[in-house]
Amino acid sequence: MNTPPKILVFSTEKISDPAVDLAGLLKKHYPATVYTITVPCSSSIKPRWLMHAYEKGFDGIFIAADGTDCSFGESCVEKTSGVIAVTHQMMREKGLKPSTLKMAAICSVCADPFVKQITGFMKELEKTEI
Amino acid sequence: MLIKDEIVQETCFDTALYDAMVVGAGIAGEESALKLADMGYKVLLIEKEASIGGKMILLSKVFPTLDCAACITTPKVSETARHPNITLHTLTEAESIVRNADNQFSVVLKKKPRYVIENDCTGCQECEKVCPVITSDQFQFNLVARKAVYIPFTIANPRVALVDIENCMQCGACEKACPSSAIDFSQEEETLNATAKSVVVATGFKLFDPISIERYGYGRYKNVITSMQMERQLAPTRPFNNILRPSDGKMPDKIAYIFCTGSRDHTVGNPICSQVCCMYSTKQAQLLMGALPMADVSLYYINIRAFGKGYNEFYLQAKDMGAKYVKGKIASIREKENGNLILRYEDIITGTVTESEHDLVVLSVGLLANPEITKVFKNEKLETDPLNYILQPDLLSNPALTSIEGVFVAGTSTAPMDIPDTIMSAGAAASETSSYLKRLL
Repeated sequence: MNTPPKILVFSTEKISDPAVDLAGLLKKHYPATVYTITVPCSSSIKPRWLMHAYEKGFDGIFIAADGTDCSFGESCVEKTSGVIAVTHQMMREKGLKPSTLKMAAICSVCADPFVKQITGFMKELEKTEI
Repeated sequence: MLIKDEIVQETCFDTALYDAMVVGAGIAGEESALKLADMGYKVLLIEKEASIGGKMILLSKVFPTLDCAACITTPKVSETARHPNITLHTLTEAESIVRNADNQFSVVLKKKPRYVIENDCTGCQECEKVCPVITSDQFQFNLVARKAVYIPFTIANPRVALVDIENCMQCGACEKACPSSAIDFSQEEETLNATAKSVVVATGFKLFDPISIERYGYGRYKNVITSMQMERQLAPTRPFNNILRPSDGKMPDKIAYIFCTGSRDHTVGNPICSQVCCMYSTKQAQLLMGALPMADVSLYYINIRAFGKGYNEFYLQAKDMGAKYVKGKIASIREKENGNLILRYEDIITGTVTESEHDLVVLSVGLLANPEITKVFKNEKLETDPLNYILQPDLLSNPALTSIEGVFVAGTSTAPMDIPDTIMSAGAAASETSSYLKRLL
């Protein structure tokens, strides 16, 4: 495959999005085929949105979650994991690989961890494609 | 229609009565406000800066755990900003606090204009791109520049732009560039009135300005910086993504720290220990040895005060990593042509006057009281101690009490202290306030 995989990132407004922004400000390198959508809290992401993204041609989805730091509620991690579990099931039914949907906690200044996660994910996706 | 209006009026009146007003939204103010709000009290939180977070949000890491300061504080910041029981006003200062006949506090607040409609700004920073004015960035401690219309810093909350009207030339470029038409130059200073049953003072500290110690050459020698400027260079939201000395942008090889700059020093009027400068310098030394593995770090101290849990081990760890601790107070600094600095000092261990050359000098500045809030209380006196910190009349058994009933104090408003102690003090202030509010019923 000639073109690099396309990744859609869901970041959260107050915690992980500043880190994604900071990665750019600090001129850290990560592939240009990474697109970001910001939501207030990762638990509000709907499985059908994720499925829609795959239908529209994204090869991978990365959810940059708040982890236990979420200011909207302590159950954010469980709820987001629930969303991912449901989506994984839907993906299996559609014949998609569940490993192309990933989630990790990214703090407000975790620019380095974000870049590391996204470049690692990109490599994994490239292998999957082959 | 009339009924609707009445309801609106009543709601407005209700929202102006708060259980507690917290002055200052640094880590102490946030912690007190959050604790009280979680207990169900209605809290009014005011902050004079454009973003909440205080000084902690600007730090690199915290000692002795080396946890990322911003990572710890941002979740608290966003929780404070969105808590349903907290009403937050940034760019706001209390003008007067008067105890009224109902034994509550009538408060007059002054809210400075932001010249940006808060609810409309999306934080896209398009205005920053087009602004032609360049001025120094106070949140990066003047290491770099910012525009006249700006978002205070990357992780600022609220993430809303503001216009620095003193430096703005009112060219209108931001107004044209703003996609949501949020720039509004017609905004004026607002006066807000509120009533609070109690007040928590969490106004924090001021940093010592070392320009008054002439022998250190701060302000004259470019490569003499303050510890806060070094802190910014080490922070994840750092300006250069590297450690650079200001004169020529070179990566420093020999760095010196001068402890007790502006603390434990009668000549500058601050005879007390700053409580944190030994430890934050030790922390910075460890971080520097990680960032610049080839650099030598020397730390000139009077006494090492590693008093807290895990602090001494942290100090010993820095020594094991190769930090060179030198007991001696610096007598003078002079600058060489290449920007390097010669430090003259008495080495107390050997008893000799010695000179050593460094290419960057960091002044470990102390903490000073911030007593401006005392002027705001009009019909009662908020007492201060001889060093202008808020007086704690019952220090041992009720450290959050002040000389005014119903006014409590949290964090470094009472004395210099580190972050763990500040958070504990803020918790104490919140529980003392809650107990007072319960007694009022």
